[in-house]
Amino acid sequence: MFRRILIEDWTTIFTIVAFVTVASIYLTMLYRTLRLKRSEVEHLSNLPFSEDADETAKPADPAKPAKPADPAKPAKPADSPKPVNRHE
Amino acid sequence: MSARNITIEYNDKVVRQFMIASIIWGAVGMLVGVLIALQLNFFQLNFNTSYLSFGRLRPLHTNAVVFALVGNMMFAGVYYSTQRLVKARLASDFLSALHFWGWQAIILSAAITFPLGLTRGKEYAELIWPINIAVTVIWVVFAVNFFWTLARRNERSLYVAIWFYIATIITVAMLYIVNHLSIPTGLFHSYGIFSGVQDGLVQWWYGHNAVAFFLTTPILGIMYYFLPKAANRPVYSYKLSVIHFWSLVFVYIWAGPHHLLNTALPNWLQMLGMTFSLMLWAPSWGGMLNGLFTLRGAWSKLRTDPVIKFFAAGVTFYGMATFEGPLLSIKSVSALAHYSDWIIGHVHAGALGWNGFMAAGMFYFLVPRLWNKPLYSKALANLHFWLGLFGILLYVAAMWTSGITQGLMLNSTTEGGTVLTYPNFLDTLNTIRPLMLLRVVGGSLYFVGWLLMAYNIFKSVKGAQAVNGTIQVTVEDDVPEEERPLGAIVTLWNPPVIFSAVGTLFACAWMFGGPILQILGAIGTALAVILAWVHFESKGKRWAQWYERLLVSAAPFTVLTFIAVAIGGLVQIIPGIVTHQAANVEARRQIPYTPLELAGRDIFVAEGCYNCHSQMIRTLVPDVLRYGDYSRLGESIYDRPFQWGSRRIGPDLARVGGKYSDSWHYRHMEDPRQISTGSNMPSFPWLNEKETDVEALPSKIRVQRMLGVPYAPMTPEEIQADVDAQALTIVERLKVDGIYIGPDKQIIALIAYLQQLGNYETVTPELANR
Repeated sequence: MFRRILIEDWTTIFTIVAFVTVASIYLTMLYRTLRLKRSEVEHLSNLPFSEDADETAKPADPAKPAKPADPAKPAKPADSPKPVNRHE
Repeated sequence: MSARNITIEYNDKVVRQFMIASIIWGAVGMLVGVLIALQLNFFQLNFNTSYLSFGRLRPLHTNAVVFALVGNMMFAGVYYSTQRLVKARLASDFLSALHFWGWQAIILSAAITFPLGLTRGKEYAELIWPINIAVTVIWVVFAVNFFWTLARRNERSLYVAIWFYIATIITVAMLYIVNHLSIPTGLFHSYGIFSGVQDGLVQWWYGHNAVAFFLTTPILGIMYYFLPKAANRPVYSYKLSVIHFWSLVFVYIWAGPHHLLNTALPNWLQMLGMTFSLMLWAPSWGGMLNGLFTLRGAWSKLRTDPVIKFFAAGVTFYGMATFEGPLLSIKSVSALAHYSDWIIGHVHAGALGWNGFMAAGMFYFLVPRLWNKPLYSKALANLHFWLGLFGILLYVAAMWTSGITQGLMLNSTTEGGTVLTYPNFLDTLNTIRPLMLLRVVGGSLYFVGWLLMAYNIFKSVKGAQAVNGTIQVTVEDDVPEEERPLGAIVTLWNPPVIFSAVGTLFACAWMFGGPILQILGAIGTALAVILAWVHFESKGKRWAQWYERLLVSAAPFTVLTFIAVAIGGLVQIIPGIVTHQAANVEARRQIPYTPLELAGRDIFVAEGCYNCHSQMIRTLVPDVLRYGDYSRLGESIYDRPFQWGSRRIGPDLARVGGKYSDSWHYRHMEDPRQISTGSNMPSFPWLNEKETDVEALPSKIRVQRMLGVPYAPMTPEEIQADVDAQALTIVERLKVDGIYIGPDKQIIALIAYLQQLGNYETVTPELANR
């Protein structure tokens, strides 16, 4: 087999090398991931929510306040503005 | 352990800037897309001007939607989510601003240079060399800003989204730099260092991984952050997201050759591309299911929240496109689909469905949070969704039908497979015209939806005050050993890496060595495996500790990810560079272009003719029946850039040389309808007026000689004389047919080039040794 690969059709080795390299490292990562501790998984998957309780909004440019709504135009009930709830 | 409280204010200004830029450029890119789609039905919309011809505008559309729409959206999402995931403000306001304004300047330069015909002639890599340098600089700015922020982070763990961003940054840098390696011939023109089959391989190694690491991985990172946030639920399976990541990083890089199936690309590369593309089914659907299952328990929000609508549909289109992609990568399916509209349908399912809808969902999520004001109109957002969805479905269905029709008609044979059923290319074009028009309707609906979003967001932010998120964090000054990032030495000097490296070295000796090395290599490989297992069993804790620390170490993680993606590139590209040189090709080899033909070729590239015409006759019976003998690898070995093409809106041109007279080509370029009734090809009247740039030829030929094309040394005077002589020959032949034109016009150079296509020299042992 090696004579055929090495001398007659030697470029086939690249496909084999590629597949073995990819498969072995991937299988290693797969094994490690499946062995991750539950507590670690819980912690990592909740990272996007970790700042929710604490994040507040600060005006980017305090010198430029928001414009008040136009008193001549009453707000539509369906679109009436409500405070942004960062915990939603 | 001492700790202190600090207040962090996130840099959300740059997020707002990138978001607005994405919306504006997205509208521009889609408008150009609708225009060029209309041009395919109504050639008059090329307006007989070079600046608006299909060949010049199509790259503008692709670059605008990829780099301007998705690029800006990606930066907005990356910067917003990264700051919050690592609990740190972006490291540098200056770099953030430089990144933003630099990127917009690059987009603007593309909008100017493409209509002027300044192009490198390679898909998604058309920008000329000065702008390539700018892209590289700005990408480095992005990388520094990002990694510096990671270095200053206050959250030790790296969420999976950060992993996707890291892979994006380093892989795109690698791909972009390698595919854009060029030698300039002047301020606005260069030749790539790769040519022919090597250029084709490098181009699609880049091109497919631009899809993977620019259009997929960063958006997946964005999905893994914003979808849980919008649904208020953690990701369904964090373990699956990690496996998804590593699978994509290892497998995607190898899939590029699936763009070159049934061509002159060596078969082992084709099989590599096909196999790895099929392997991509698993991780892609793993990611899709992970995203959709994250919505478990929150499906009711689909009715009420436009953000969830867009994300759910976006992830579904991701799954659809990543099912279709591997399917198209099967050689026999590619035989039907390659060069057809099916590929366009596939691309737009991904671009409109996955990228566009994820962008919209993210923008609708961000607006209330970045301006502290609710969205102006949920009803408009919902309308945007339905218009967009209906537009995508119409677009994709039209292109599927069109593409399969093209494939079936163009490949159809009769009389026992010896005669084409539809020998006239225009028969196929006329059949698919209604479907091309339906595509315009679908795309226009999607575009209108995008404009509705722009209006909705404009009304939302008008009069509102922009806000930045702030947070209090507790920073510990003493970090436990197991939470400290890995240093440079420990990254590589540890059991898993050492045993892998030693085992690989012995395996190479076993494979490639002489008799003694083979024996030593076999023994060494076996020993390395056995010792690794014994060490793992006895000291497995050290292996585990290394891996746990890797998860919190951005720099080592980055290095190892780079090695993972680089392996794929090296294994695919280096054999081609080493073996597929002109000196090694068998049977046929390209004859280098004469100076006039070279000038004509550069006109062909500048006008974007490759956007419609391929130059690669595949190893398929219908291709050979229609266009002539299949293309050999050596016949385009000197072509820079390679012109194998990826579309057949018009017929293949690989063997058009000598098929028609010079006057046929003259009349065809002046107005294709003179020759082919019903053709949708633009007219090119300016080629009869503009002069060929002969002054640029000495520099061009010098660079070609530098890159290994066997030109004899020529002085500028010799070049001019050669050009004049050949041009006069063509002019005289045109006179016989009643056409009178000066020898210095571009059309003469183009005719010279077209008449050369398909010529080659047969390789003899003497020729091979030259």
